[in-house]
Amino acid sequence: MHPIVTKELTKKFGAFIATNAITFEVKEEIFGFLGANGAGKTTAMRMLCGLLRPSSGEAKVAGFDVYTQADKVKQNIGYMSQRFSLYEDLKVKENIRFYGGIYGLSNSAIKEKTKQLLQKLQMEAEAEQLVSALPLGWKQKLAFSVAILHDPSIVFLDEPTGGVDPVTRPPVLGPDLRSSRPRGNGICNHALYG
Amino acid sequence: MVDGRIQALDTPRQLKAQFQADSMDDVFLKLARGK
Repeated sequence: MHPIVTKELTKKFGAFIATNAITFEVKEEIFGFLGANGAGKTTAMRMLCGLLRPSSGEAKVAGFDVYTQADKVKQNIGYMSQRFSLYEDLKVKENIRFYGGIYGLSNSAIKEKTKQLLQKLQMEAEAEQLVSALPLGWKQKLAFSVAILHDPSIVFLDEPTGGVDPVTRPPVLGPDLRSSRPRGNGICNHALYG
Repeated sequence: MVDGRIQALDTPRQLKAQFQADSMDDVFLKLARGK
């Protein structure tokens, strides 16, 4: 079973067709959407994340139907949006705890994951800092890390490197992504490396 | 993706060969310009 399968997936907003009958399969791989602003990448990704109901067509993510099993889809994916989903007014540690709760982790698991994550990101000293005070690259790494806090089988990254300099980019798209070992990835970006 | 449609679907290496492009930036530009 492919982690992601779509058939003629379409989303209309009134008369405007944002995503027009897209059909593809994602194997266990890193898969990228490439396109200009307004090409429909984010719309496609939001439908696959169970956040936006398609107008027509079919899609299964992690084996679950995006129309009828959106909750199951959400439980099995990680999603990092174009705008970081971190809460700027919460501390680093509080953000990790918040997302751990959202993803249904137990308190003991959240405690352990928080410790591991802060060590991995070398952010132990910033644990009590508000996210708003962090440099952009750090926010990006933290946002990616909380998106995979619950070890999802599939990770969707919507323009994960937007606004970040090339020096900061590789750790996000390189080892961090590969070491998360998801079964299938969706990446949305304007530029791909290769 | 171009205007909501998938215009090309392949690996980066195959796409570069298909569009006779040196980089994915070139592939992007050729697709976006409809070449």
